Amino acid sequence: MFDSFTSVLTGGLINPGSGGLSKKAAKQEKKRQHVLDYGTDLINAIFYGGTTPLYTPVTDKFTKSAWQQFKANPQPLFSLTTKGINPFVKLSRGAVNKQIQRGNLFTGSEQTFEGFQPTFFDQRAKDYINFAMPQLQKQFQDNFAAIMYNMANRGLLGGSASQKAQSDLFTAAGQGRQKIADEAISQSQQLRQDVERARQSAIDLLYQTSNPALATQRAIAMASGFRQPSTFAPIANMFADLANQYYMNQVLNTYRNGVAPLALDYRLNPTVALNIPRNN
Amino acid sequence: MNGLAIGAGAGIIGGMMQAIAASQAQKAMEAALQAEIDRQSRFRQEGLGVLTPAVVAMGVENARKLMSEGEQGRQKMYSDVGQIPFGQFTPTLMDQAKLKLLGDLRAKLGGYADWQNQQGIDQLHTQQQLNRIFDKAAGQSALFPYRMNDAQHSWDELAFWGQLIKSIGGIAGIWQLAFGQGPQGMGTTQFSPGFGGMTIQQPGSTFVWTNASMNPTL
Repeated sequence: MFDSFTSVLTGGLINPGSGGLSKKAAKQEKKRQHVLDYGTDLINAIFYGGTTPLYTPVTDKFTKSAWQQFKANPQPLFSLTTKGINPFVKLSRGAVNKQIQRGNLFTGSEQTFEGFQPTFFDQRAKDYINFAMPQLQKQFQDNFAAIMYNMANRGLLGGSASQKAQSDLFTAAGQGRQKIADEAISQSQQLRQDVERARQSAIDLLYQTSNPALATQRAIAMASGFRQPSTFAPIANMFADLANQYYMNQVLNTYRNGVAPLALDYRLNPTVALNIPRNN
Repeated sequence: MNGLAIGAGAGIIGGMMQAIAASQAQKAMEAALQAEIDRQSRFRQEGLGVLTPAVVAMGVENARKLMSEGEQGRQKMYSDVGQIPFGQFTPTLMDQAKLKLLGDLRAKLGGYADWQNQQGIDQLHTQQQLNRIFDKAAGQSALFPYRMNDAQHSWDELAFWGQLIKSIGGIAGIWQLAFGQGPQGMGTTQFSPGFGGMTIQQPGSTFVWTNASMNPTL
């Protein structure tokens, strides 16, 4: 290529100057930036939802027979230029193979991604509540039945002690509900953070490699990983403190009435045995 | 025309062309440097444009807003969860009020976690935006050596012709000195003792004839 008057004059033999190295390098940089923009748009579409072209690099050159097949069933081709990734219209085998050789040719189609919408994270919280609430409900009913039975057994049902017991049980149940709600929110937030970190990781990878295909692969793998259901551990006994309190109360009241606690009670709750002197 | 005069004239013209080329190349390099400084300044401005609102959002005003939103969100969640029935049990109004108060206080504490969570995500987004700008700046910065190279060689053509003219002038001078006449029938000329590879001792300096130009050496 003749860049200068001297080059034209000497038929390209002498071409003083740099040969436009910066223009060539700038073209490559523009292409790299377009690839990064495309990769970022794709990752954003995967994580936040949206429609974006999904380009797949064409790596194998067209043989004569492959070209005939392609012409019989043509697919849209795109090439990477300094203006971005645009439809490639020079549909001759030579031109296409030249673009493939330069690593500039892609096939592509529009694809829509759902993305991680707020409803996805809300659902995570709801799933935890749906999982934990029946357990709390059962704990409540067991403890309610036990305490009410105990009250009835002692002839205290309907009295202020019974009312107090019900009130305490209601408060403990309410706090249990709130604890479950907090845990649900926490898990939802943790999931959101994980998703954001995964997106960040995919973008980091994109920058490191300037290869959106690899980063996208990782993003899709991470996205599918988050959609797997988690294994929830059973919730702790939310009424343990309350039950223990009533148990202690009963034991103490029994002792105060002049009857020593049963040996069974010592076994069940050794702390009681330590605190209460044996009456010989 | 005297061959030496041609040589001297060509030397002067060629030298002038080279001097102009060098001067212009220097200007082009300065311009390239200034353009790079301006370019990087624009990236810095762009970065500040991203950073400033992000830093403002880290302040206590936004923290209070986020905590309040988190608190309200948790209160709503507590209320929703509280609607799930646990059987035939009717709490008193006092019990309900007590639980509501406990829930409100708990939600207020939870608001801090919500703020921190949101702040962490916002910082990630800010970092991503800054990384994008940083990458563009780094990409342009990587082009800078090529741009300087282009600027350095932008006047090479003029320098080349200047050098060529000087060389032709030098050949003319050497021809004159060697054969005593112009290279292409310019006629005989008188030998000048002050030139032609001879040195003329001057007080304090020496003039040496080198390739159709005179360079004073001390």
